[in-house]
Amino acid sequence: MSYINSVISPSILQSGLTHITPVEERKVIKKFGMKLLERKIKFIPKFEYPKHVEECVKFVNNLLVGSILEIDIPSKFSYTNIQQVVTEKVTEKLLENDKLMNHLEILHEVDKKNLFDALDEFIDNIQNTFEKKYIEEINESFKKFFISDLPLEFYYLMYKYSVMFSDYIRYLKSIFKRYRSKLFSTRALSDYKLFKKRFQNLKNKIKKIVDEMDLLTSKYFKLLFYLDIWNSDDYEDILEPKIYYLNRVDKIVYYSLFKEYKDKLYEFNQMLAERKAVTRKVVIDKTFVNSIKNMFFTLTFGEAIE
Amino acid sequence: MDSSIIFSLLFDEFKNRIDILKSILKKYKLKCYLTDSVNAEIKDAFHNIMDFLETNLKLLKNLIIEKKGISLRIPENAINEVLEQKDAMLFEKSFISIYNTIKDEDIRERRIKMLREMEEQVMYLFDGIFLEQDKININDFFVKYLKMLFETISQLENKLSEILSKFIENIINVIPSSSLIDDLHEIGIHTSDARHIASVAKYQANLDCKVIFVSFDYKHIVNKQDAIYRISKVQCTDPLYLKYYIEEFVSSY
Repeated sequence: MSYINSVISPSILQSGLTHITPVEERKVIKKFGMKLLERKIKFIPKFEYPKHVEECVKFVNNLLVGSILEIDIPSKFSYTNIQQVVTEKVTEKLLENDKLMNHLEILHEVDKKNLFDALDEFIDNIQNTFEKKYIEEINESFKKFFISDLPLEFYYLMYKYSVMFSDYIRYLKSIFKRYRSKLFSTRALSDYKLFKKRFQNLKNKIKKIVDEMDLLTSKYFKLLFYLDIWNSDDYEDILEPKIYYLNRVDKIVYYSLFKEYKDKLYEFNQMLAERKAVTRKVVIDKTFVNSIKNMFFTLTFGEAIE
Repeated sequence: MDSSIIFSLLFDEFKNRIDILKSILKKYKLKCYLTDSVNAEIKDAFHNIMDFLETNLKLLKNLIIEKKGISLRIPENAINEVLEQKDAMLFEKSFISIYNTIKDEDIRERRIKMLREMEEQVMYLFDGIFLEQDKININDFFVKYLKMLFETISQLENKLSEILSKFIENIINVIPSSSLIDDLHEIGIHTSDARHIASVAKYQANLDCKVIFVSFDYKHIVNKQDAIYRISKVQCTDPLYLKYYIEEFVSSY
């Protein structure tokens, strides 16, 4: 799960943004022999780096590891030990992404002028890491379909998650772009109250969508942890690359977790569609689409509409 | 709306009738709804295609490996095995083997139609690949197929989401009368269609309003509109005639 850090990065970003507040700094300066009032808007983080990184790691662990307590585990394992193993591995994955950590640091050093540059870089980093790592792993996982007994739909929804995640990242980027011009308008820059209000609106908007995605991510990892833990021979085996077998898990539990994840995924996808955020257009082959269409009509209506 | 309308919007089928429907919706500012059962039917269609492909893809891959004379007992051998253009006939023979396994007469015709589509997709990909390269690893070939399939289905699902948010006001969640479902069943309406119509009937009665059920399913719904109306008081029609039902209703109101 080398893509783990990109999947949870927007949550880190949100946690980062939550802790940033704009403040107006006023000081009297002397220019041309006159006293002038200089006003500057600065962003102040709630925590100092590296405490913020610790906060982020804690936040991510709560999000992911918390889901383990909600799943049934084999009697050979204990919740405490599994949580410890998962926390160590997730933290290791998080910290090994130097760029991500670097961006977090930058987010706390910037003034208002380049906060949005830093945000853009942060988002780009997430997108690049995700697309590289996750797509690699997804392609690799497709091979497992022919060996494992997991349903094809499981692999499809892993793919779907990747497509949707890219849309989600692009959507976040578009929000930042929109708010950048709103915040740096002459009007907002000369009116601290308005600036503060708009910055809060940005945080609220980001929070709303990231919270929804966090919920989906926790369901996604709950399902993956369930499969991974039950397909692991010992603690060392947990979160290491492996093929998941349905015959090693309780099918009723699997299908219930799968349904939870699937429902949330489609709910989120519908939300993106309603906000016109599903922007990734792949040119799909017409012959292929036509054949899939025939399958739909055959399966659903037979000859009823011919 | 019936799922046949939604699928026609999705696949640009019945274009003229769909355009008429769109213009009526606009002109009369009509609200469209899906019953819970129609919504489930749409979702199930994707799920059923996955189910079908799941069984047959694994079967196809194993048959190809078997026909290439590779032992399935040593999976490593199969992983490294390559396909060449001359292996096209192995695909033909493998599909023939799958066709021959379908014995159940009730589902035979439908299964064969579905398999023919899968066969076309697989060979379309095969032809495309060998225009550009001499050989491909068996695993890579099937991974390419899965990627193409997933990409197509995902795009269709996205388009479906857009259609639903554009045309559908809400999903009707009512419990239909089981006796009405039975009555509809008796006049030859399939259980799933009977459930859609009974849900519409319940909604119409609950809200004391007029609902028209539009469908392209001629065999099971549109062609039986009189019998359905007698039993359920639900008017079913093809979009082509929708405006006349609306006008008749408005003039009698």
